[in-house]
Amino acid sequence: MNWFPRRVRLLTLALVVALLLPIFVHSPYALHVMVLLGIWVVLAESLNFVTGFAGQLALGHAAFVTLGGYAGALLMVNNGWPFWPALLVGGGTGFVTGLILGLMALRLRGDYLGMVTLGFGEIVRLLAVNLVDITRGPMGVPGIPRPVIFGFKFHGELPFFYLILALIVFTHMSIERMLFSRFGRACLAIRDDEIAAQAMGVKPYRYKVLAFCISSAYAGLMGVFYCSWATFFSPDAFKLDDSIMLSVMITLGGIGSLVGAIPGAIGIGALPELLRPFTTGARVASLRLAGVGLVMVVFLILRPQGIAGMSIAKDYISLEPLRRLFVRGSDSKPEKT
Amino acid sequence: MSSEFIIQQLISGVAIGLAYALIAIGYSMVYGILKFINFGHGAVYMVGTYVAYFTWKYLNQSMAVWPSFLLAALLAVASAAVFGVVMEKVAYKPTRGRSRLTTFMSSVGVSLMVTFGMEFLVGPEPRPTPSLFPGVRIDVGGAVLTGMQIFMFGVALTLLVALQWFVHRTQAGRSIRACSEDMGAASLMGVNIDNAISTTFAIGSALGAVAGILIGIYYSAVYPTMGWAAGIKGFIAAVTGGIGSIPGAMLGGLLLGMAENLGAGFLSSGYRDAIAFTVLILVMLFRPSGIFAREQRSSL
Repeated sequence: MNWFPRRVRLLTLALVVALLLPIFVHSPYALHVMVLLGIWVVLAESLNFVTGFAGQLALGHAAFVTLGGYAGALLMVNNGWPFWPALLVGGGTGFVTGLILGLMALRLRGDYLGMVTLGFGEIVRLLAVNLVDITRGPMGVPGIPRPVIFGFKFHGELPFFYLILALIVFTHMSIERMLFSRFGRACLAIRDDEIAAQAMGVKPYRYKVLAFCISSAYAGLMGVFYCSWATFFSPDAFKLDDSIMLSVMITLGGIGSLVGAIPGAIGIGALPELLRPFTTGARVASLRLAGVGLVMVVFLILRPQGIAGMSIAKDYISLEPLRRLFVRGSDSKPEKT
Repeated sequence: MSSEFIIQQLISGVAIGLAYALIAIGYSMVYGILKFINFGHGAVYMVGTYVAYFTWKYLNQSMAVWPSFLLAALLAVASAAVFGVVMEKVAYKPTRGRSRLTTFMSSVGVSLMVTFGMEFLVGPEPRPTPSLFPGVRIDVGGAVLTGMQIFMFGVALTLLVALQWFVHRTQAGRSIRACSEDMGAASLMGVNIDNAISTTFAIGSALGAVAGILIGIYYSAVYPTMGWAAGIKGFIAAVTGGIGSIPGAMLGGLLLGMAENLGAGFLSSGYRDAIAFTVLILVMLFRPSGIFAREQRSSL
């Protein structure tokens, strides 16, 4: 029995480095960027749960962040709720709305599901823009209070940095636990061969819907975190571009790779900051998105298994020679489909 | 609500719906042959419109409105066709034979790259277009029919009829249909599959560019992200009418255009796109193979 496997060692090391990072990094700007990257990591990991492990392409993740964010923001601003119960309500909102959409949409497969979830995301955004009486529309909700823990009021970036680290650890560990449970194995079975899974008594629809709501619950949670961190929430905070960006992150990290989502999210999330010295203003955003598109196409053609390298088996076939070229000492055999 | 208002909304709905039908063809034909949703179609639509816009602007300095428009449109349609074929060769062909989700994600990547590459080059602001029929308005029972709307009916219907003829009566059309029935068997019968796929992309992209030019002039706005909404609506039209069928694409486009305009008229114009997506979700829930399809396919 290996009680401390390699992947855990690596992640523990990464966590220790992250915990110590604020000792060396003092600039609020750098901390701000790191918190943002943390949000991307949680969102990418949770999306990876439904896309990578349950095999369902979802392009509406941002909608659940928006829903959770509004639920939390409005409760905190209008009803004076503290942060922590609002955080739970945000997660619950993500779960329930994920359940409603999942029950409707998860009978569809593949790219059709992608288009329907994308449509749902746009409906949510348009409702947030147009229901001015509730959401204040495009003006957004200002003055969202920051969290208070044991009488200590969050101030500046540092407490948020530690809170997001805690949330990353929580997300990663809970997803890993779920993967090794009956539920996770059922999801993997459905992804790899739905008919075989059915023959073994796994009900695909039920598990897909459950995976979808759980993934949406994390997104709702992050909505509340984000709005309290930014003290402001608007329909434009998370939109279609961000949903697509998230699927790019997990594609590059390796669809279905638990660890891969982390470098994927950090790499793509940090792009606009890295591009900042070369271009200015609004052009940064366009250049980033164009660059991401290019990288994505190149990756899908040359290395569909992503950086971390666990992939949907079907994609191995024609790529084995190329893969050998890039990955030294790789001994995995292509699988027949 | 007065009847004039409803007629007015229906007229705009039919005009824009026929343009959606032209976009839908691109999705429908590609889906018929390669069984994947080409998300990059909206980007082709946008590129075609920009080529037409800039060429028209340039030619209009020395020529009259109509000749310069026709030349620009011709060039735009041709370059969109080339662009569509190149896109397939570069980004989709290498993923052929793998899971169709891979190809779909690749097309999302193409769409990002082209849309935001264009935004980087020309800036995000919408540009107004010149008008083709200044001041042409016909009174229809209290509602107004503009010259541009009549032009849209004419162009779209002609192209759809021509396409129907092409697909059913020509050798190239026959190879396309054979490939969408059974690619392996078509190849055994001596059909050149690569050519059939390229023809499909060329036609779909050319029609997409025509739709882009029509919609760009209709709303008098050309902007880099115009392909997102239009592309998704073309997809919704294709799905509503039953993907893979040309008359279906037309009916789906008309239905979507009218639903959108009536909904926008009765609720608020802010909900225009939300109505289109609601149509998509309803169709996917209750009639996933399209509301005009005779048989229901078991899987999508």
